[in-house]
Amino acid sequence: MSLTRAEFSRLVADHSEALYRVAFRMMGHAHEAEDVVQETFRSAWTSRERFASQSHESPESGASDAEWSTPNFDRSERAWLVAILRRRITDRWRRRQHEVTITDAPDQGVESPDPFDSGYTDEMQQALSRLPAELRESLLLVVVGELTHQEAADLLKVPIGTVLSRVSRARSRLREQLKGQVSK
Amino acid sequence: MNERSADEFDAWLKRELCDVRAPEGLRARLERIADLDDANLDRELRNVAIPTGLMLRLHAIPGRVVVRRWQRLPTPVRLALAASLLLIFGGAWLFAAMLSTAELYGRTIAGHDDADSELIVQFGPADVASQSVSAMVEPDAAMVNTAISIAAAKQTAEGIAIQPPLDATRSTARSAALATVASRRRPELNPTRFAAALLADPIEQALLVQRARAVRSAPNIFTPAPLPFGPGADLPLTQAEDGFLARAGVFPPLSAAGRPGTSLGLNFGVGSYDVLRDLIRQGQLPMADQVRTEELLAALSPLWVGAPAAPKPKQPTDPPPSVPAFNLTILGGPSPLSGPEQRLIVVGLRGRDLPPVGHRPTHLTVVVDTSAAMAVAGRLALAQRELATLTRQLQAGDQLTLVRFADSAQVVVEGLGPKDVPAWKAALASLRAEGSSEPATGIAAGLAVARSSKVTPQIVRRVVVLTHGGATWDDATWQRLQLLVETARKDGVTLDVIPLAPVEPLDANWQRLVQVGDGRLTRAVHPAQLQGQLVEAFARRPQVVLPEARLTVSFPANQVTSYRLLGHEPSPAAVVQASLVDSHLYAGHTTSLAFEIRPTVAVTAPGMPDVEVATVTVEWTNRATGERVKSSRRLMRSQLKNTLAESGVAWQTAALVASTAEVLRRSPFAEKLTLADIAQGLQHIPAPQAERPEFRDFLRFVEQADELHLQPNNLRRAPGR
Repeated sequence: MSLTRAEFSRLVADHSEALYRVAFRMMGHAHEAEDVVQETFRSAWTSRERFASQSHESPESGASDAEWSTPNFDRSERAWLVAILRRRITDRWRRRQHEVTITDAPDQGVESPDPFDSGYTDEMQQALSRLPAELRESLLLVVVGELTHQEAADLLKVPIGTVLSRVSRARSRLREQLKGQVSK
Repeated sequence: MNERSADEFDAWLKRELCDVRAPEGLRARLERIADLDDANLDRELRNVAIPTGLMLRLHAIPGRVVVRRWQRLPTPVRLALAASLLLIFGGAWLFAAMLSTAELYGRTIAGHDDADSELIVQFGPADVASQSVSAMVEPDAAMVNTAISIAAAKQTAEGIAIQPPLDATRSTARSAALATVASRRRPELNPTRFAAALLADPIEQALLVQRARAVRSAPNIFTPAPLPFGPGADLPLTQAEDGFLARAGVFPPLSAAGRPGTSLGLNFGVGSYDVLRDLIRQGQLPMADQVRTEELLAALSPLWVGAPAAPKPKQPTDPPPSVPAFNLTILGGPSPLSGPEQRLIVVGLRGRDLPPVGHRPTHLTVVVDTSAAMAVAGRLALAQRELATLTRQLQAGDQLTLVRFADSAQVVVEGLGPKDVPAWKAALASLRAEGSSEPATGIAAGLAVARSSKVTPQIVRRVVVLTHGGATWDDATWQRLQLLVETARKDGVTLDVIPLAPVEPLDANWQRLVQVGDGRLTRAVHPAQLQGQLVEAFARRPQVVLPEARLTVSFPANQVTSYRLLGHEPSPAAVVQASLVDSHLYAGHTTSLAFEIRPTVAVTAPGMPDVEVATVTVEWTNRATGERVKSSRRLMRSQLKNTLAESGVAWQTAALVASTAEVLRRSPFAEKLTLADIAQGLQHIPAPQAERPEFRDFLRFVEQADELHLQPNNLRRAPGR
């Protein structure tokens, strides 16, 4: 079954915020995060024929985490979208190593309200950036992307135990990093 | 800035950077967050505000992204469909090509209706017997030859070789016809109709029409006919002399009584020698118009033109003398061409070499246009060649970055230093001309890279853009670009633009752009210009040693009966370049003149009074005062040796180079001379001249050309005007 416009709108409503949070935490840059989320949904719409077969597969075995208990969205949809998002981010990183493409008007430094001026966002981002990449990614997929450990394991192509261990270590390291900031 | 002030700056910078007041409550917040349990820590991780407008953008996607029906098909089906279409269209194209080849026989491939019916170009493929080709072109042979010659002349100047007429392919014929339309030779031809008749692609049609209009609106090329000769319009050739030039392809002898001298703007091209060498290596004889005597002489000038020498100090206590800006070499001897009563004079003007000098550490970002238009006229090759030489200027602390752009931009290499010369050359060699051109993208990318480069107060950051200059943007784009350039300039990044465009008019916005970017806009056509301008862009050290230089040669009528200029024959491209491009003498470059003269006294004998036979005057502009400055040198009769053996090695070499060019041009004044004779003469040149690589290369070139059996019936000269 193909994705209809109504279903696409629902996808946006259900998943865009989580996807944006993951993108922002991974990339550390608001505009890039916004762009990559937009690219993700464009890809989703372009390949909407595949939506039915890919998104509605039941989660693989082992997906019995506590997070299943209160689902307020379709988990298979989230996993599908997060997988696309991860590919887009990887593409962007790879491209950024070699290429600078200006497709829009130059950034003239227009002042705009900073949406991240509250809470611990900046300190958290700094601490996150100091985590090893594999720990950071596992933590963000599970905690911010709200994937199950099994979905994250499938996406990262590692055993579920590895994901569990990484998320746990990531939390500990994150806490250490934050304590380190306090002591400075 | 000296060392001490740099240290002070660093200390100040560190203090300023560290002088950030921690927000109230930050420490308390951090302590709280560090003590959070897992659930609360996760909640903080998810605490990312969603930007306003994101949802709107995402919801709008279905309306903007159109997925075509075929894209919805499964991948294997799409692949199979694509393969089928490829087979169908490939077969159809092959069939059409066969039909089209067959139709060439007996049909015209250029326009032939009404007003344009003059130019009928018919060629078969290369394997068609020459008689049949001749028969086909017979009715309009003159027109075809004219078209071919114009194409050849233009291509020569642009460094591209084309096939000779009898081997002409359809594309050669087409390019010949296009060259005709895009010139002023046939003003009655309608470019729009011609383009429509010759070209299927509407974009190509538009480009042709644009080029034709640009050339036609440029300063007049063909009237009055022989402009390059004589001091401007003062000494036009007579109708008979013009006819001679048209038939023979070289200038006729002129009476010194009627016209005592000639004055020329400088031609610094050396591309003709490269073209000829490539052709000869491939076993092809060049067309007459591809041989430019003055360019061969200039290309081989290291063999005969001396470098400027510093005058000796008069007293040992005198300060070291400064090196003069140029060296003017005048050599004379018996002419190997027209007969024993003639003398050959060669004049070489060489700019002083400027060794690299200390400059502030510079990060130069070179932005190169690699769109398909850069393949025309060898623009990209010129850029690649001259950018490779830029590494000679590199010093410790300098950095080079290469950005290429067509419809998008890419950083090819970044931050290369003096030790990375091979990487720089490899990056240049990887450039290919393809795709459409979007200079705004390239400039923006170049500025972005320059701005993001590591900044210390000592490093100068510059961006230089090499493009074909044909940008046509709307005002909004120009304004956006200007804002970007202005922002970069405030950040210390300057912008230079070098259009590699001899003819095409430039949009006035380019000038405004470089003004905003605190840089310069300078055209470059030949290697000396581009090299000089790149060095100026990099080190901000002037490379022009004689601005707006001009050479005048005069012959006193009581000592010289007649004189004949070798080389400098008019061609559409050469004249256009002369009229639109500067004639500055750049550091380390040479321009040349050669004359055959007939002295009133044939033989110089001991005891004869020594008199002046020629005066060469260099004239240039003093930029400080704006005045024209002149410097003259005389050639005395005693310097004109009677035999080859008496003449010096430098003159012998120059004479053999000029003679080679005359033979290859099929000059009627060189009919008694063969390339074998010249090769033999070269073999008699002694060491150390004979051991120099340029000399050995030239000898090999002459020997290879001789093996191709140049015959009079190989004449490929156009009937000219």
